[in-house]
Amino acid sequence: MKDKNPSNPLQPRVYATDASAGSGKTYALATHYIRLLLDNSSIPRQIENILAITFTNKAAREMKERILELLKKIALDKFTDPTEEARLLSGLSIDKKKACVKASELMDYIIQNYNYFQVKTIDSFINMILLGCAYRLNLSANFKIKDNRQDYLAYSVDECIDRAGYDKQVRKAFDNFLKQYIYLKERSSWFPKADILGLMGSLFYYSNIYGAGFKKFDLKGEDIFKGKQEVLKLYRSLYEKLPDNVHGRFRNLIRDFLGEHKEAFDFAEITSKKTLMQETVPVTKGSPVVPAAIEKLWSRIRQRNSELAEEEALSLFNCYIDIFDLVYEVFRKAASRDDVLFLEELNQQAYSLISENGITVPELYYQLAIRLRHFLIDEFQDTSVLQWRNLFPMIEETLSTGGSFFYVGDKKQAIFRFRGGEASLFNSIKKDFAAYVSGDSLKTNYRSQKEIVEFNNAVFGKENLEKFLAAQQPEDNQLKRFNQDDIKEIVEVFSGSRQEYKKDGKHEDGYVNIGLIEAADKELRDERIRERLLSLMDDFKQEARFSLRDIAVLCRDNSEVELVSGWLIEGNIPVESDKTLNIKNNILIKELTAFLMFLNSPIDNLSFSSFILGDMFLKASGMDIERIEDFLFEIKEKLSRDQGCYIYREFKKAFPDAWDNFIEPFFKRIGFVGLYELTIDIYKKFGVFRHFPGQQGFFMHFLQLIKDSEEECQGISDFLEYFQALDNYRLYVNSSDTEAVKVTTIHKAKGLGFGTVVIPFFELDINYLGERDMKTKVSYTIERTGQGISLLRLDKKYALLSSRIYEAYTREYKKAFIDELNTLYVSLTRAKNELYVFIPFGMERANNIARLLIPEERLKQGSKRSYVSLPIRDVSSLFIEPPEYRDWNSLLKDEFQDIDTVKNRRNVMRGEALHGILASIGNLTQEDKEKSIEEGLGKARSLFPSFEDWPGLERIVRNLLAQEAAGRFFYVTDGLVYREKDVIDRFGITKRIDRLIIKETEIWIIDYKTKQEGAADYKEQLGAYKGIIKEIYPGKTVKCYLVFLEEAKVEEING
Amino acid sequence: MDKIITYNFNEDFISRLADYIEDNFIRKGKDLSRLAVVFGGKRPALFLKRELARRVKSSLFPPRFFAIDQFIRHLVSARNDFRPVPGLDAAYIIYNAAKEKAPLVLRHREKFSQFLPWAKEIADFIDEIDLENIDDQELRQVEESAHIGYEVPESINKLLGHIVKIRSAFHAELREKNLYSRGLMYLDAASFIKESGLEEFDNILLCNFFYLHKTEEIILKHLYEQGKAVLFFQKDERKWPVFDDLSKSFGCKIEPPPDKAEIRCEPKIYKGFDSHSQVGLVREILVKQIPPKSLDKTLIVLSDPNNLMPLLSEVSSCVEDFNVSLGYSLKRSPLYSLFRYIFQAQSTRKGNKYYTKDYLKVLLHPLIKNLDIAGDQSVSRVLCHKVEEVLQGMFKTAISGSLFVELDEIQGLGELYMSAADTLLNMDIKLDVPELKKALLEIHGLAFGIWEDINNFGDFLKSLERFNEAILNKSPLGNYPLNIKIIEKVYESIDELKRAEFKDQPFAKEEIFNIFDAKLQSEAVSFQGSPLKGLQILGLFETRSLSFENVIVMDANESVLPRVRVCEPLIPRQVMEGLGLERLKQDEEIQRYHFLRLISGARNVYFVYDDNLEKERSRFIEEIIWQEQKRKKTLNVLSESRARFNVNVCPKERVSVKKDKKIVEYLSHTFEYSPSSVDTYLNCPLKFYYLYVLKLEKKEELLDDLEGRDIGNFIHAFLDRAFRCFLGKKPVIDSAFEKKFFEEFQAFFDSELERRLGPGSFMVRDIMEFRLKKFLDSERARKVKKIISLEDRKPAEKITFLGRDFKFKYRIDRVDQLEDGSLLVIDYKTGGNLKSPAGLNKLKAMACDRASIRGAINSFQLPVYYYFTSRQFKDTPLNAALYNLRDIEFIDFIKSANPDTAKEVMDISFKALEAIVSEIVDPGLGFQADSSLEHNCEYCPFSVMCK
Ligand code: SF4
Repeated sequence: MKDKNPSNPLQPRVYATDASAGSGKTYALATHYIRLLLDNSSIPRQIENILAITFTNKAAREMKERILELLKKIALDKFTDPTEEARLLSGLSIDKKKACVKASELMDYIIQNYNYFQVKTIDSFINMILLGCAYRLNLSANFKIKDNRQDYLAYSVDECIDRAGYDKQVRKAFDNFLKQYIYLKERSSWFPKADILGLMGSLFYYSNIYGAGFKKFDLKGEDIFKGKQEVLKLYRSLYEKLPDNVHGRFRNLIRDFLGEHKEAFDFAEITSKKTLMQETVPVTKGSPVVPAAIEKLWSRIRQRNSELAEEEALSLFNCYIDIFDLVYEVFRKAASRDDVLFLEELNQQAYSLISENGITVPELYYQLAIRLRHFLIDEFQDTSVLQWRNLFPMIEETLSTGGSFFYVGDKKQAIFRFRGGEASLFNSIKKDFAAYVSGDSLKTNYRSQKEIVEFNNAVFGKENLEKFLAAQQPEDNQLKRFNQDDIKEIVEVFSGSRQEYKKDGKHEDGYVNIGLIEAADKELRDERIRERLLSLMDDFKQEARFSLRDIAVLCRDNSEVELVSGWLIEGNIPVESDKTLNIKNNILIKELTAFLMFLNSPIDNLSFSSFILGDMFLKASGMDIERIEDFLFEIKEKLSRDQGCYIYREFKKAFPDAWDNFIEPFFKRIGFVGLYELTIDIYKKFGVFRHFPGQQGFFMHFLQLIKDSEEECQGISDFLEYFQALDNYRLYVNSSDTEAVKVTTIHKAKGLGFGTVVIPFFELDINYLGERDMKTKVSYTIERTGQGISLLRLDKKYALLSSRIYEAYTREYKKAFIDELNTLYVSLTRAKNELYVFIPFGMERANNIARLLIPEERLKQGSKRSYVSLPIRDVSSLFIEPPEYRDWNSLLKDEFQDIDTVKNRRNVMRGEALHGILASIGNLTQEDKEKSIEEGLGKARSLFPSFEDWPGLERIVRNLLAQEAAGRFFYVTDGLVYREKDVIDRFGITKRIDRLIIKETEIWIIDYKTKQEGAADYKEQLGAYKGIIKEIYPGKTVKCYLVFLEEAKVEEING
Repeated sequence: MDKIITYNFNEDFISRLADYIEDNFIRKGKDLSRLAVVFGGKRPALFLKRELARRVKSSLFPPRFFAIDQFIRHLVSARNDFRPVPGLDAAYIIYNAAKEKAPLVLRHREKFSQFLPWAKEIADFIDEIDLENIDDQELRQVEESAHIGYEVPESINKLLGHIVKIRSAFHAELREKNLYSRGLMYLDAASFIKESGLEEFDNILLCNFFYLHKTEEIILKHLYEQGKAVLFFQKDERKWPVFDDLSKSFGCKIEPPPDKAEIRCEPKIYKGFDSHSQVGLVREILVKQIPPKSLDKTLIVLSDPNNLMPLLSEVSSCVEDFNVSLGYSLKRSPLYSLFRYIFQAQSTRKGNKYYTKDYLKVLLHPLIKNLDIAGDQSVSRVLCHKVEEVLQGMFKTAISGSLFVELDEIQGLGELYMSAADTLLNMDIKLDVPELKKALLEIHGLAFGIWEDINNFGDFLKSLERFNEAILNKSPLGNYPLNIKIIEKVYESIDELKRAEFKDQPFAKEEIFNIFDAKLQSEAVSFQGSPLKGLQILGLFETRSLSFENVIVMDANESVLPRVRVCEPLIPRQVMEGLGLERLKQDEEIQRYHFLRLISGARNVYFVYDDNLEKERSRFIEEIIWQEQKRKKTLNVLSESRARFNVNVCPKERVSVKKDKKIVEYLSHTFEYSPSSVDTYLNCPLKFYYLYVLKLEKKEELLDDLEGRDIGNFIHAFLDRAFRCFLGKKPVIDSAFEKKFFEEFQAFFDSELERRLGPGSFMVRDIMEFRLKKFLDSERARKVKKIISLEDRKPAEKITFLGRDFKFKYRIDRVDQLEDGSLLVIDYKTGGNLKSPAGLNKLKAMACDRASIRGAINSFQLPVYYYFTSRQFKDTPLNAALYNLRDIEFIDFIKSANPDTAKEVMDISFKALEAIVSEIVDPGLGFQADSSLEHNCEYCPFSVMCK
């Protein structure tokens, strides 16, 4: 395949931009995008060749908006900030006037060619590639992308477990797994299935992040077992030969060790005892060293331990991988049967397109009908290796044909390593493209006030970081100590962190306050932080220097968010957080779901009582809670005594009115109407908006979830399962303008700025290393090799024995440490005006080294002042009154026919088919009867292909034509015959007359009927026809006839 | 008479056309039935009729109206009574053609159901090239794309070669069967248009067309050149490439008259954040901005049909009359959900065994459990719920809790019918066991039996019809009118499939289900609507040729408006473009045309879109805004409002339940306390109230995954059994015992857990075995003289506090007498929750409030056991311990051998117990949750009842 547009003479260019917090990353990307198009030689159409990639939909949208906004500013010359104008236009090769014209043309072009305005998330771009290559990938033409693979994994695990019942191979894999499972102490559950599922989830995740399958270490569990027996033998022989002057403790430890372990042992038994880790055999003070043979034996033992530890660490996961391979095979089959791909797999699939299907860049471009020449990537530090591998061929092609590649990011804000983000790409790419890279670093912070910028400059400056890293080195844990190279590497991450504040006269203030909180244990820590936080909030309220909405409390994880929100709520402070805005936490929604659960399964006593004890029911029914409590109290004995005692039945007896009025209507209808309609009826019946006006957002969001679920849920029980499984993000009620403090996680706050930031738990806390299966909490690291990825168990005991594992362990520790520092960086750089931080310290078991990061002299900086908040509600906010629901079904009642019509559908069709045949029979005085019948049958057959009794119909028609009474309508000598004649009445409504015969002085209206019942309706119908025809032919006599086809009877209708 | 007439965008097309017909036909007394009026769709005809009737002020014979498809069909059927080929048939023909002519295309997707999506894709592509009159030669020679700069990849050329072959085989097969695809119909019509006289019409008005397929263009152009047709267009001053092409092709100018609009309408923009805020905005607009009398001049353009239900629910609260052109998706219907459940139950069936959960889903579906089988719906309901109770374990039988179950097993359960008969008798329905059995058999037959042996569509359709008949005649489906439409639609699908080409071909059952499911999913029951009444709710394409005073455009978001297909999964888009198939551009231009035409003719325009941060607003809105900005030379144009719901994020009050006299009385005299009830109180008084005072419990569901509690119960029961032989004796754990022990374990496991655990049971069994082995090792090493008691469940005994007696019940797992003569009270633990009182020092430091007691005592289990045992065995040295069976370790209650310590520990513990019990019966203290323990609420079953 040849390139017909070989490289243009432009030099390839790679622009790498470092963008610290608040430095206007989006802006930098947007301006680069615009410059590519406003450049002298560019024409609007070149927009087709540019692709800008972000990581989230939100970022993509912001970027698009920003590009349009800037273009419009240039086009209409509407800059509010002259520096902005200068900045933007200075990089262009054309003058302002030309830029204006060009920008305007460009806007027009974009508007008309919006498909080419390609600012996409990486996922949507990859998705687009996959859709375009579905055929090549053996996917179906309309495969679906699902984001939740849990059900499929669960199914696959079940399927494999099932197979284990009859397939020895599979059973063996499980047996091996179980051995391991019981052996690893951390996970002593009775139900391995849940843990297997969790593990499979993790492995699936990592295989997709790394884009490869797992490779087992070539060793069996038995080999290690044998090795350990051999080591025990060596220990025994050593013990027997130990000379007298050997240190007593050493001797005793070995004795005990051998006593306790006859066949095998755990390496932790060795590593937990310093004496057993000595390099040489210890002797009593002053006595001579042990003979060389003994020393040799000791060193042999140490050597073997080291080898075995390494092998164990490497092979520990073999049995996981075996099961994963089995499960994955089933998983893929199920997914392809249902024609789905999972969000997590997109990159992996795209990679297989390139690696296995050998698709080339030109082919890709054919699929996409574009040729890309300029790539822009946002948040580059979050790009995974696999994503980069997928983009690389296109970028390489671009560069080789004179295109460009612009990327922007910040290594310091790389906090998504657990999602595969690989910050090291940031620098390695600079090296790869060294020949044509130009780097830039954005130095101005547009977000924060001076004091905050300077505070962060001091904290993350080289000098302070080095001091911090030196000070935090633990004496007693070699696994957590950094060497000079490590220190250099860590400091390098923050090398470009120094920023300038925006010198526009509005950013000269700011306030930082760091509080140290001493507490010996967690409870005390929480108690003290709670007090401090509430009193800080009190101060904020008293001082009223800014609005509550401008405050964000940043937490490390969701459980902290829960905790802190709980404190604030208790302290009567309105809070916007997962806790308060999560509809699952909303009591009325809980009551509503309890009601639905009851309706779904009436024997669910707990749900029913939850509902009748709840406000929703009580308010609507006017009953008071004591009555219900009394009722429940009265029936309690019966409830625990009788197996079949259902509270709803007792309730029905005790409160028949309340039952009939509030429960029965739903009890009866459930399952016959859609859940959406049912829920609306519940809202209506229980007057939820009237009784609980403040909960409108929650009720509406619940409806939204029902609506959204319709794609995958059938019926109420499906929905309830779906609702239970929803992730928090979907459960969050939109509430953009409440006067409330925001409590959120640092990860969610990335990219955002807040007036005042409070960090209640400023801690540097390394919970685990490497990757970890969240369920079983086993840590491992992943090593990529040529044939796949291998898993290596990260455990102190192995690290202390094996240098290879040691290396992996300390490497992972360093990575985790950098992640933590980055998280702290992100948290400290969110504040615009004021920053409050609490640093707990002094806990017995956890040494919070984050305290060492903040220099003494920086604990307080700047001064407080007032800040103007955005108005509470922007002027254009429109409050939506709650609706007064009505039954829309009744408004469309004309649409619905009655059930008998459906039951009689065969007869109805028969009648229609007969009509169809007769419609082909014109005036037989002029037309051939046989031909007409034939034609009529042909037409009717094609209209009613599922009808079968054609001979029967033919008989009826022939009989009809043969009868004198009806025959005269078909053999007309003195008039015009119309069939299925459309007429419209004076209101524009169309009627269709079966047969209309127009004679000199009279007109016959003929209507065919297949059954005799319904005479009154027939009369009315013909009366209407008559009226219409009379209007058209005022001078003629109009006669109406009913022709009963089956009987070939004719009845004239008068009046 | 002008042959090309162009109206401006802001003219009312229907009204102008009515003018034309009035002037040129009605006034001239021409016979309107010899006039044909052809539109793009069906709807404009309805409006035109109304307009004509208004003008004539009388009834009339109208012109013949056609939508373009109908017109083409009219043309073709004049020569040939054909049948349109149903979609699935077309796919099947393509599948066979591919199999024969281009088998490579089928690689990795050999089965029909696997190939179906691609067959549809190919059928669409063939339709498209037919419509565009592209011949095979062009397909074979796709030019390289200058745009991409590379030659056409070889793989693509090959694919096109295959398609050429499939196309001709497809056409041949259609002709042979006298079937027509849409593309073929147009292609034929274009080829013989010159010979079609269309004598039945004197004039043909071709109205408001925009983009024309090549074949359409040939046909229309012929009619135009023949002199019979007049073409009506609508256009504004904008540049429309489609019109440029048409002008060229027709050799005429398409120019609108000057725009005479006096007032330029300024659209208003409304931002929602989801569907419901959008429909809320729409209602606000209807109520606050549009006078009621203007409602029938008002249109809501609903771009996303998924929002129909929210919209209808919302607008019905403020509008009396409205008309909806969109359909109600079959997917939302109860009948569809039932089909899904039935198919699922069949696909998870293993041999005769049904996966119980899926079985129950079918059985408990309202349409099944309310079938009127034995003269009364209650019979089915009672039967089905009895089966549920049996399987869930509320009513214990041999099959309760089974993961998989056979129909025969259920049908064979005598006790099920007896119990059902009893319940029915209470309802005055007398049925005996054989009658009930017959009813259950019939239900099973319908819901399961008839779906079991299906080998082709013929079988399937027979079952389906039988099933439908039963639902129609025996279920209350018809009480809900919408359902009638739904079942009617299902019948239509049956009718269609009955004629399918592949009806008698063998198919795997799953494939049949999948194909049928896909078919149902794509169906919607339409509300026919009457355009002549009230507010109109239409999709964008239904608005063609119509004009409204007020237009509200909803879902004005990217990917919805316009709705374009960005990816071409089969033929690369670049190749399509090479063939002149610029689908993406055309689709966009067509929608932009309808959109701009519509809003240009309106007086008031409102755009509503979802402003959720993840979504973008429609490019069409961007266009309108940019035009305004250019016109006004400012960035601030068009008013915008954002929707807001009331969201109260303020703290809520917590529940507190008052203790009335009855409760205090009950707790003081009747209630039997237990260590666990007091522990519960310790952690949450409110929970104590719900669980022990009201005796509410979470519904036990044997079918749910096994929980720790189940394991605990099992192991307790098993150890009790296994060690009973040692009661009063020294336990001797020798190999004979061990053998027996494990044999018993096997048997007990099989009878209690096997069925519930299903195939995964081996894992739980292995783990249990492993731990029991360790347990035996530990037992072997322990120095036990004899076992004094096992699972000792005593009648409640009294403890005296506050001068009153309180009843306490307890159950001690085991009491051992050790070799030193002392006693050890043992409580087996299988879970991770090992709570026992702290050491003496901490106990001494304990204050007497609930929180401190909770912190130090943790659980009253061991103190209470200790107390009663010491009462029984006075003066015998005693200790109590938790025996952790997971890790085989003991946690002692009294942590020192000093007898004084024991006394002190017990004194403190009992003081604490007294304090708690006195709090429980204190009438002044309500049951209230402890805010510091909120983390307990997460998994608490009563969380709904607490604020
Ligand atoms: S939800 Fe919480 S407060 Fe309510 S009963 Fe349960 S534990 Fe107590």
